[in-house]
Amino acid sequence: MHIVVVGAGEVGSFLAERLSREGHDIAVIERDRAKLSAIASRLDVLTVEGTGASPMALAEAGIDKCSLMVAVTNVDETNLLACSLAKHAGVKSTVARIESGELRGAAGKKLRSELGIDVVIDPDAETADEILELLEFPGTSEVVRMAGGDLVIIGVRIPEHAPMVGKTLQRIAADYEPNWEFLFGAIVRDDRTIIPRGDHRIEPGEFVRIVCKERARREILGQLGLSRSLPRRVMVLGGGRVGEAVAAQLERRRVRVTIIERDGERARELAEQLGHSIVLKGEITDADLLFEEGAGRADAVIALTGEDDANVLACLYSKSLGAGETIAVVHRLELLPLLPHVGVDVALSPRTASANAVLRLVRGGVESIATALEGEAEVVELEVAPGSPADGALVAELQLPKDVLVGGVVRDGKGQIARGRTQLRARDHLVVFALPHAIEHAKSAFS
Amino acid sequence: MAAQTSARGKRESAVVHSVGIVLAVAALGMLAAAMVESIDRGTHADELAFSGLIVGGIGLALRSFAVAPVRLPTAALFRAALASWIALTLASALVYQWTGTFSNFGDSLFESVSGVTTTGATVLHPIEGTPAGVLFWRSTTQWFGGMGVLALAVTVLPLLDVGGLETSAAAPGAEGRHRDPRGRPIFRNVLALYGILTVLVVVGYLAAGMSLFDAVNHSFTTVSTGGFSTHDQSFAFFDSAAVEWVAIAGMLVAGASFALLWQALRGRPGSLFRSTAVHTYVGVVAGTALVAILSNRVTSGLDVGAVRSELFTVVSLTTTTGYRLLDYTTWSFSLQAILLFGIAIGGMSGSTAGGFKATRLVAITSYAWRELARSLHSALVRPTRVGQTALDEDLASRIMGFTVLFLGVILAGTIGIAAFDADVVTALSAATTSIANAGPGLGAVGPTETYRNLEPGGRAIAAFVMLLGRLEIFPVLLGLAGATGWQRARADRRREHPARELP
Repeated sequence: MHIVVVGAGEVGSFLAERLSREGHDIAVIERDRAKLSAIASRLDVLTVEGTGASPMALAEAGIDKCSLMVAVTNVDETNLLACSLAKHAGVKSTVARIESGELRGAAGKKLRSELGIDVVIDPDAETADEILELLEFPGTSEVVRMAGGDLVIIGVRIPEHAPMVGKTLQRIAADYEPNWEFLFGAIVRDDRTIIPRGDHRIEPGEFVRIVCKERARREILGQLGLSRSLPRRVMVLGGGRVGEAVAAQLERRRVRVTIIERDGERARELAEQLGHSIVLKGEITDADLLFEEGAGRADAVIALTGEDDANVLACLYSKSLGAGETIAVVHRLELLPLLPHVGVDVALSPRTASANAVLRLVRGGVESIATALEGEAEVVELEVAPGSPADGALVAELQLPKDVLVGGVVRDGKGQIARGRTQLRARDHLVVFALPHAIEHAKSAFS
Repeated sequence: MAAQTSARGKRESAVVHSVGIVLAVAALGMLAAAMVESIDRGTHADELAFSGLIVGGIGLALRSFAVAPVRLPTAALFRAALASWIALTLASALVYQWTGTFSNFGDSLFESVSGVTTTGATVLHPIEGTPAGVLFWRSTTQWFGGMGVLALAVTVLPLLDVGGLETSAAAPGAEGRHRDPRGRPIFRNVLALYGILTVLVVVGYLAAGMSLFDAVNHSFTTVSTGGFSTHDQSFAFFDSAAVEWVAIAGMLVAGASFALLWQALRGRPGSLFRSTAVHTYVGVVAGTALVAILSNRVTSGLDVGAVRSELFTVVSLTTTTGYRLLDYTTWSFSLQAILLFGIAIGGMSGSTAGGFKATRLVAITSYAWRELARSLHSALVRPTRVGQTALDEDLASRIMGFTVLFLGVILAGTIGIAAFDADVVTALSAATTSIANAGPGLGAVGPTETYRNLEPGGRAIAAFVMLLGRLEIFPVLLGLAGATGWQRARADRRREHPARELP
């Protein structure tokens, strides 16, 4: 598939890398020469200097043979125009990054369809949603809902004191016969991802992805040694768009929010927008300020500024003061694996949430639920096609490769954990854990 | 004063121009009073008519002498407002003096100030027996005063702080029409509403059984939240439930923002129900009434008539009208204190009522909470709010400044009045009721008394406090400061002795 990516910022370059590794033809259009050459030196993609609003640049990027346009600059207008131009040039699907709430909402629907924009993404809004989900499941570092929230996939690092440490998966599963309420889908140990078998023994420090039923989540979090209550006091460091969205949502849930923002004007704006949150003007790395404002008593500290080092530092300091959970937004992926070891409980990248929407389109309707931040495994949602080998078969009979695991089945909107004896039917939606090289194989088994 | 000669050969002067208009309008009132007097076959029609002719002549002369400047600085606007008020007061004093209503000029002046500031404190005794034309003129001064307040609300008050907040929200500029920078089109609407309201209240009083003379007089003093009555016993004279209900409704409406009322009449009643200022205004009135009615029920048992009278009393005081019906100084002390607070807060800005104003109360409460929170969180950023609206920091600090001045005037007034041999309750309530332009207070200026109980010196102070309250303090102080050159002298001194750091 030929794909044109406009904007080589954080989201754009991540997508370019991801898609090119999956074997697609990628052209990247970017105005900033430095960003462009950085991409060109790292990836095997076509780079075009220019803006997405320029028909010439689009032609150079091969718009005529392109089937997906991804416009992810930080300027709404450019993205809209690029998608519109692409649509007129016959591109099948378009994705635009739009920050304006007005254009994203129902009011902008007519405009979007007239311009030919199929999918709208907003990394900031998606990051905010992700943070809110994480706060709903205290202690987890990834939460993805599916089947209308019936099934949840959570990613957790196993703490030392977790009751299930030292047990094999068989042992753990045996305790829950006959009805499993959760299943281990993928495990990262020593930076290597595996799809676990029954003889795998849980050890502290492992990162596990579990598919579970929503109503069983308390039980499972308890088993994992994470029986914390919902946060009541949250400190948001950095009052950008993400910070504001998170604070506004938390306010609605009656959480006490403190926001620290560096810019006086912006702080004033936040104070006017938000209701009873405490808005402070200051540096998030000001240790005295964090101490005075009770970062140590906060159930969660969320650092969301554009500066990775400040975010990490503020989280570390808050943790040392006794903060419950620390969440940092980190823009440089290289840092991510390091952070859980030093006291940042969750590290997020704004790009991953948005990337999922694009990957879904590329894979033709296949829902990519969680694109791995840590390790390589992916969780995808696949539909069982009528007449496929899987239609009517038991899961155990599917002869899937060992790097593919069916974790959950959603039938008629209700989710359940998949067992070997589960019989599949056409139109079932499956939660499948797979290593990247096995994804294509998995898809063919169900289509 | 920056008086310039315009292209038409006339001088440009806001003060002269506005005083001219005020006097011309006052003359119309005097002529009307003369007509009333002659219909009543009174003996003072000539004096009233000649007053009108003289005052009108002066007014027209001033009008021909100067034109309104196209643009005028804020200071000139303040001066014009102050001068207009003083001119109307002097014109009114002339009427009382010429008709021999009072034995000395001080009393004439006091009654005039009380009238044009729509306060309603009186030294006229007995009221019944005073010539009908003079009584009509007396009510008319309050009606004019109310008009003047509305003029202030669209011109001067928006320049101060939240005094004009509701008015500016109703600016027709929002509808894309041409808007005069001094708010003339809004003023026309608001004035029309004032007129309509006056007629409605007249009809109401007539229907409730008042004579035409009483109905017109009381309507004038109801819609202006003035409080002058044509009877010594004020509303106790009528002893009529219907009259009291009409008055309650009239006073409540007159105490609400005319800008919001206008919007409501234009088919947008929503703004009336959503306004925080309305909530606070209704809250203060209803809260005070509820406390008064309930606690009086405990002491004197259930009585529907008494409930109505108590409601009337609370509404009359908190809207700063000041009609008297029953003697609330027999109520419990705590109730009297609450009443005094209700008087001090008064009605809404953009109404004819006086007082501190509901909007400012909300603003300073929010400000105080913010400062309290800031003592815990030194880096706190939080705007002062009135409802959902965040106020500019400038505006918030000007409201604080106003608050300090407001309390300062009450304090200074209390001390000043007490210095002329009044007890503290009398002095405090006189100062409070004067700055709020309500009228009756407690003690020797209570509902059954008149301001004759104050010594002339105390009365003079009370009158000055009324003027301060009516013009929202700033214009009076700035006008006086400008007149004495005090500010410039201070600035000069400061230039000679630049500020030094504190040791």
